[in-house]
Amino acid sequence: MKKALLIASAAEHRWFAVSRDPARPNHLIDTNEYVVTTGADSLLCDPGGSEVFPAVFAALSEVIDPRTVQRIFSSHQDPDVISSLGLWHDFNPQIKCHVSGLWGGFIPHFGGEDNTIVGIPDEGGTLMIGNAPLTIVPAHYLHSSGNFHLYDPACKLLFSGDIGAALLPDADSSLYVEDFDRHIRFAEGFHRRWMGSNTAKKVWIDRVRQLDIELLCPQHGAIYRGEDVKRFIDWFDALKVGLD
Amino acid sequence: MKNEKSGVDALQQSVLIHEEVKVVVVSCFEINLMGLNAILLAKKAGERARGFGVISGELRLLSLELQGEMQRLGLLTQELLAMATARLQAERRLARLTDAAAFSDHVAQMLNPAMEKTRSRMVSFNGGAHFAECLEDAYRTCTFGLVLARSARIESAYSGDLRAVLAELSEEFAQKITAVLPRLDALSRITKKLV
Repeated sequence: MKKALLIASAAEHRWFAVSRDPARPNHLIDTNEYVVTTGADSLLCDPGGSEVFPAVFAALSEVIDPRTVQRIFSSHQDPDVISSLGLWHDFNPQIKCHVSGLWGGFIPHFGGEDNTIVGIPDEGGTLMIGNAPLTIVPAHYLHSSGNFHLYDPACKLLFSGDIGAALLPDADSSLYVEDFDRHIRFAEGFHRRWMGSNTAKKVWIDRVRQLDIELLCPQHGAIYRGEDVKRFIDWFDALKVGLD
Repeated sequence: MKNEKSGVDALQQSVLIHEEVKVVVVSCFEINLMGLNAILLAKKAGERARGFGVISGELRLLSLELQGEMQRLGLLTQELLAMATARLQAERRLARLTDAAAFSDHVAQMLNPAMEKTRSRMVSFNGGAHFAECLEDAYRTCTFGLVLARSARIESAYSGDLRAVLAELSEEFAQKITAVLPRLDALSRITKKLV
């Protein structure tokens, strides 16, 4: 089963990563889910596909009360990101899902009603968790046309969706990147193919270089921390991606 | 439909019904064209084939009636399909929720209301009686069609020069209508499971 591990905390809130399920069937890509919680209010980032819902729900229940999950943040529209939405709504029909306005009419195919989808404008915005603001960072065309990341200035944590993702061998079970040079080999092919545009990449890099990031948390693979965050951004900056 | 009927079963049944209905609709189309052809031939034969022409017109109307009955069956099948899809979705959701609940009593307790709600979405299909009603109508139409085909055969004997051609045509009418009956039997067998 997946495990929920504390990866960051600030005065008011804590971040947990839900990852690494040894029982995951091989035909499913491994995913990381993240939750930030104040105790009374929790925001779940990229809750995962419907097939992993049982493992995610059970792992979350170990560290938070799932009834506190009132909001879901979906970086983009892919099924491995958000197809469990219908199950979360079965559990609590009031849960709001924040996702690019571009995908507002698509996501309800996974579940929910029109009043539970909150469209994020292209320029991003802010979500509050308790008294702490979280910045919604645009990442369009990397790799989805309507794509967002979430930055927590208090914890210096960037939830980066598919950016930073690596398709790791099963033996690599560490939650954090331990050997950057070895790790990045598993990220290269993914980024070359799945990131659509060098222009979009440049916009994103200019934006995140202004942020103070201690943890860069992707939806697949391992978490970059400390110096590896800058290493990753520099590596990504130099990488030719997509078609342009 | 029995409560234990799964979404997959209902989905498969809706496909089987739809396939049979399609075959009958094709037959209706053919009977209609044959009827049109027969009316033209009867006109050619003149006053003596007037009776044959009237019966051919009746057979055309009958084919439209049968087609209408098949359309009703088609609509009922769509209802069955919608029910089957909703049920399938609910079954899959319930399976995921049950998997989650298996992790601990605490989790099971939290998920219990969601599981109950999902179970309640597994509505049973109660359209079996409508299927039976619709099929009875179709049987009646076909039986009447066979009577008409026999009458056409008799009328063809009085149709002058074209009597051999019209006799053959009346035989084709009877064959075409007779061929529909096993399809209705098949539909009856499939839909009986829905009652």
